Amino acid sequence: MSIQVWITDKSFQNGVATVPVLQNIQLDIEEGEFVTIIGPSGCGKSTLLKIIAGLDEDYKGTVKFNDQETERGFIFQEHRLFPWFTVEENIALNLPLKDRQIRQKIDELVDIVRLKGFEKAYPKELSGGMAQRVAIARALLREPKVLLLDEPFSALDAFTRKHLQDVLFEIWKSKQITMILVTHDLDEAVYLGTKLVIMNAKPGRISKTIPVHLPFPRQRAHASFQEMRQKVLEEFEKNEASLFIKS
Amino acid sequence: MNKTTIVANPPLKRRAWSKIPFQKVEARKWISPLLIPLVILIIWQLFGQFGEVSKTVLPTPFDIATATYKLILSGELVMHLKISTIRALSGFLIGAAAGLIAGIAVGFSTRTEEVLDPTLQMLRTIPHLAVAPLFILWLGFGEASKVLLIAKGAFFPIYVNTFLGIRGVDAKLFDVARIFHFNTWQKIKLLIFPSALPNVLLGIRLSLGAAWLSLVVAELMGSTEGIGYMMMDARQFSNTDIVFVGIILFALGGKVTDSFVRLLEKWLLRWQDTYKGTM
Ligand SMILES: Nc1ncnc2c1ncn2[C@@H]1O[C@H](COP(=O)(O)OP(=O)(O)OP(=O)(O)O)[C@@H](O)[C@H]1O
Ligand SMILES: [Mg+2]
Repeated sequence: MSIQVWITDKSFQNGVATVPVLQNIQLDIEEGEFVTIIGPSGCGKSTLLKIIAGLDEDYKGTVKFNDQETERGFIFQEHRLFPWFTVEENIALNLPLKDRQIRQKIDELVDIVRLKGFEKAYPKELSGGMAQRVAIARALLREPKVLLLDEPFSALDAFTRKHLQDVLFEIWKSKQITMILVTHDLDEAVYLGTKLVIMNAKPGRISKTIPVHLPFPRQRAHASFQEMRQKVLEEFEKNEASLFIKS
Repeated sequence: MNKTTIVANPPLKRRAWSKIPFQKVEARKWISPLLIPLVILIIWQLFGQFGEVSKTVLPTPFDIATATYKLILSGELVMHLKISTIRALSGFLIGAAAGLIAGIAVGFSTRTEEVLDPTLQMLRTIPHLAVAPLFILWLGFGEASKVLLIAKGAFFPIYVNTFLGIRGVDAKLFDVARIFHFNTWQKIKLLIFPSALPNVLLGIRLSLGAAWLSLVVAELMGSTEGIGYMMMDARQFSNTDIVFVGIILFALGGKVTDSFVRLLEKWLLRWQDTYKGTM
């Protein structure tokens, strides 16, 4: 399973004006890769993910999966649980909760995201981190080959975020899902990514793709980690400088 | 000073609160809504007894109670109440069902909305009293014209709210439905219907209220039985106490049906996370 993204142009109609959001995006993703995308706010990261997920079909270009039927999962910035369903109903959604196989898988997933005992709780009774974990379980139940994540942990506190990053890492390692994660958090991008994509804005383009070869599990305090982080940061600052010169 | 006490107190307060026996809390819940009516009743009774007010203007609560008792004994009350309830209920069922269907049809399709909604909105603004004579002309003084009038009253609240509820579904949840390949029926069952339910229930509540109001109009317009008739008849003979009995029955009927729907809401919408009024 590999993905080839080639978007020549994606624009939004803003009243009478046409605002270009993405231009000449070329991105090849291999099976089992963990791609992290970072870029300034409004550069089109969410838009790019939606296009890859098939939620937005109004663009010029192609997104090729070598198997078009590839099951895609999506985890949104907000948990987007259905408030009228309990945790287990939210995980199952349109799959039959009564089915023995599905029941078993849900129990397994509830275990993985550490929500035992909350199966019958409503979303209003969950914390932000718990709700996001339900969303992760919900996506994993469908056994996606590709999981797209749009700043899934950005609304969480540092501690919960770290925990969920490790949960995600474990899932990636054990299930060999291809991950595409958008984030604002440089540490997160370096901690998880095997390939780091830096975007810049107006219009959104990929300014650089950096392979990250650090061994897993990564140590944030390690010198090589910090070095990589520094490298990405410099790339970022270069972008900002070029933006500054242009305007 | 105030702030520090507020910060320091809550755990203590809560513990003290939970020590109050369950029955007392329960009792408070029952007594609170009765407090104001009770005070009014007492003042009213005293005023009637010691003031110089004629009974045909303002009978005392005691007079009204006596009149109620007599009406129950003679069987009139039950008879009138039964016929009124049947009218209100059948009118409500017809109007609410039609309103629900129309609301769903318009909610699901902009085409239907364009065709149907403007006409319905126009009809909505016509007052009951204005169409009642027409209904009577067409259908006579029988049950049909009354039920139709009540149905008209019940139709609009549920129509408007169902429509609103369906259009108010969070578009972000539709993205979720798409990612997980919901089919049309799953979208309706798992997403649109539950999301619209709070509005639909509100519509039902308002429709019930409207049905009662329409019942009064229908029965006062002309009938030979029913609570409205009982009141009209009493007014002609200056039996003001019976007029009051009618008013109270309408109030109680409205309250009982409303409480029933609220109970239903509490159960069906237990997932809702809203302000409970405990500041
Ligand atoms: N539905 C829409 N209609 C019009 N313009 C839109 C729409 N969605 C996004 N845009 C515009 O497209 C641009 C990119 O939006 P997008 O949400 O992809 O940014 P982002 O990189 O995800 O930002 P953030 O990091 O803040 O989430 C923004 O300038 C935004 O104004
Ligand atoms: Mg975004």
